[in-house]
Amino acid sequence: MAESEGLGVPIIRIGKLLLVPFEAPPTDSEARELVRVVLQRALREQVVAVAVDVSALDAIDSYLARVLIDIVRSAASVGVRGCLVGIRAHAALTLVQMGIDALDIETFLNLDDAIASLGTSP
Amino acid sequence: MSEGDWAQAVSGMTAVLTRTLAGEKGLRVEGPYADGALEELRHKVNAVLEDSATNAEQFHRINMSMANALTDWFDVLGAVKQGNLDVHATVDYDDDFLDQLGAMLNGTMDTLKAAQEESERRRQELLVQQAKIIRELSTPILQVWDRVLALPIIGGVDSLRAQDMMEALLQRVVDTQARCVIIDLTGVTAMDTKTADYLLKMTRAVTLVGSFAIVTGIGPDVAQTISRMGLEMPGVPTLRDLRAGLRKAFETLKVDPGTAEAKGG
Repeated sequence: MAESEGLGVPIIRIGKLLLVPFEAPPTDSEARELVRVVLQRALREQVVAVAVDVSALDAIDSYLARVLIDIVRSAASVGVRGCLVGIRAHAALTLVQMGIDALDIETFLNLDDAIASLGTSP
Repeated sequence: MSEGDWAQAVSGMTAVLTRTLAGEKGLRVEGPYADGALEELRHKVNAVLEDSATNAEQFHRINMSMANALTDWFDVLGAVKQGNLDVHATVDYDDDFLDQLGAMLNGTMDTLKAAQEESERRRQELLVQQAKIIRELSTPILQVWDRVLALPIIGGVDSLRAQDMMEALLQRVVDTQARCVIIDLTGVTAMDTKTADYLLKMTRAVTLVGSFAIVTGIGPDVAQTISRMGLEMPGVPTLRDLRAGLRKAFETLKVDPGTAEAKGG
């Protein structure tokens, strides 16, 4: 996919869900590009949900939290349900300690739970 | 030689010898005697006197050294008896042999002290380990159903324990992908504000990772603490006991334990 080049993050469609697995925290421009591409594909491929998989991330700091919220809210603005999948124990504890746990977005333990809840099985 | 000379010589020598035996030092038989034989005797007596003077001096010195050493060692052993292994013998008794013994005593004390320190260190290590085991034993995280965990908290909870529990629970939730966690406070009699704060954080963290928290068994004291702090646990049902909590878990997860049993679930 041409628009995925240079993103550094693969975007995988599973049924009516887009899966975005993060290997590392994105830079500002990467994050903006990511939102753009996700919205584009969501609309084009009639996706109903976007799941951002953060199970590879040891920690989620306030910057990354904002990026994630951004993705999910942008998706919501075009009627796509966004969620986070696979937050690690250490990352969750840090977020709670920092008091930024009320992310106001849906979270799931794993992709199966997300798909079951969002009703997007192919 | 006349008898008088002999008498004088003998009485003179006897006097000197008697006084020497009595402890006087540095005495000599004065001469010279006219009689050759007496004079020879006089020299011999003086030689003996000198010899024994020297010997006496040596004897006296050794006596003093031993007295010093023994006093010193008694002091050291007295300190050891009171548990002080830091005192050492001075090792300067003016006698090689005694100095050696003193050094050996010090060596023994050093070995004892090292052994004592090692033993103390091991004791501390053991205490730390035991404390850890006690903490782990008192915070068992039970898997009561497929993907349902229960954490019955028993006894007093200080903030160190609360921190431990929070980390252990979160890790278990992720490891077992538990969709529901029941935190039971039936065994908790009192909770300070710091611990109540940890409880709140625990429920929030559980919710954050995508699981579902239920709190059961809140007693009157704990209830007061929580409400006084204005703590809210939104989205966290609070129920009477673990049984009610389990029922709520099945409800929320849409599990029918009856059929699950039949299916061997």
